[in-house]
Amino acid sequence: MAGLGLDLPTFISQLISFLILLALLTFFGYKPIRAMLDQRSRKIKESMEREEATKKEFEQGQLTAQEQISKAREEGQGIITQATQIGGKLKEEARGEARQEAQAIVDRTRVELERERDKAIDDLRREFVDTSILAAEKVIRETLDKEKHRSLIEETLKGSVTFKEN
Amino acid sequence: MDVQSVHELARLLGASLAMGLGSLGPAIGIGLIGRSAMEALGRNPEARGPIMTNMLLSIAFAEAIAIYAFVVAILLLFVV
Amino acid sequence: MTEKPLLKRFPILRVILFIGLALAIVSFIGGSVGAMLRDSSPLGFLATSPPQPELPAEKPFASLFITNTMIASWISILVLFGLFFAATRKMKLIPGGLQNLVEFFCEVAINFINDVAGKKWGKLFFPVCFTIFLFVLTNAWIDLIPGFGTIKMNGLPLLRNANSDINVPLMLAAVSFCFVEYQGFKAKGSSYLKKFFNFGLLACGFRQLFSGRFKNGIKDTFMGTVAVFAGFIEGISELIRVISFTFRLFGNMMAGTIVVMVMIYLVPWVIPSLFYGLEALLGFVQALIFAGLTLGFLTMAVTSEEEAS
Repeated sequence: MAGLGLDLPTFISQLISFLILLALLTFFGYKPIRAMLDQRSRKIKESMEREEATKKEFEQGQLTAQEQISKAREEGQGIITQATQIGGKLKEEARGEARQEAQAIVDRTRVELERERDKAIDDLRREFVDTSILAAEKVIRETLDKEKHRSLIEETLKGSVTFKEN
Repeated sequence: MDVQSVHELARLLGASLAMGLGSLGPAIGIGLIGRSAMEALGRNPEARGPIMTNMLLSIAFAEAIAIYAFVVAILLLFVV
Repeated sequence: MTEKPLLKRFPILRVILFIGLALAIVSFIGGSVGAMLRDSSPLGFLATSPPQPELPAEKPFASLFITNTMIASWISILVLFGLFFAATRKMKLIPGGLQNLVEFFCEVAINFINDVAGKKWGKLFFPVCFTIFLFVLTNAWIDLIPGFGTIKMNGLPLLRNANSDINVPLMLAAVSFCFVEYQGFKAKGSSYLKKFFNFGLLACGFRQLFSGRFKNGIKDTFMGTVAVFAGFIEGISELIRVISFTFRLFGNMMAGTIVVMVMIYLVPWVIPSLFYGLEALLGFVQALIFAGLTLGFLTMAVTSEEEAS
């Protein structure tokens, strides 16, 4: 075996060298690297979890905001309809009032007019009667007294339809 | 022929035969491995990476047999 | 996709190829092969000494037992240690440069080992397997540095590929063997030894033989003998593994060295460079095989048959 180069001192020396290498690499290489890899993977996991949580929160917030917006919209819609209704009612009321007032004005005017007219008719009639009486007096001064004559003419006037109609 | 030259002749002949005959099997094996790898590559060319690595590993295993023959040959040449 | 050929894209490649070819032809004609054909000696600047492979490691210092392979392995240990020390000296959470590189390779190795052995065992196996891989790889690749073997001391090379000294592969194989047996014993306790010394069935057979149940006794004795023999074979194969490990690595590295030597002798220029490339690949593959087989045997040793099936 010596021809092959096999000898114990070299073997032992190489064995020791290899064991030293194993120890060195384990303590200076693998352990810190493994720790670093673990730490990094933990950190990545953590940050991913955090990101997930933030995302969820954001989604939740978005959902709430959406809900609130839709609620507000609904509410606004309600308010608008209500306002429209009220407005309509108010308009209706105002219109009614205006109509009533106008009616009242018209009525009053008509009453006044009628009164004026009546008065005018009355006046006219009185004047006419007076004139008639005067004329009649002139004709028949002595035969008829004034009062009796008046009632007579009055009666005649009432009987006349055309005059009444006016 | 004296003993010395017979010894020398046997040594050289033995080494050559060991190397030559010992390479036969691994050579066939490596050929087969290469053929299978090429077939696999043709069947699905996208698996090029794994096929290459596994082919190289298998070739190294087959080659190891030839290497044993080689070790025997150099033992015969340099040690015996 | 129409890709232009490599030679057309980089015109300089053509020049390099031409020069390389010319040098190869010149060295072929002027070197040993040409000399043999011309029946004269090779040209002066191309003359190289014929390859003289040396199996045992040389001792460059006359009075010391230190061999050149020892020095080479120390250098590779220093290189590896320096690399890892520099990479882990100032660890940062966000890696950069060297730390990133080393971490990347470590992570690849960890993933590979975890894939084969599982996470629980992978953590235990990783240091030994990866150190074997790195040691073999560094030894093989350090040898490829130009001028590595040319430094002489007392007429002998001061440095030599440590893998081509049989003590190193044997040492690695022994470490691998011991680690496998230790892990197997630790994982399974005394039942691990039953794999090699399986006398249970034989004893049962003898007991039956003496208590009068001949038919069962003979059958069990026979089966017991077979089991004992199988255990013996198992033990032998475990030892054979060591030899196979040793000679696979040793033979490959020695063969590589000799091939490069022979090529340098035959065609001194250009052609040996191609074999250097081959050597680089071979060194990587051998390191991978050594570590991978160790890992495979470890996994086989710690997983019981029930678990595996």
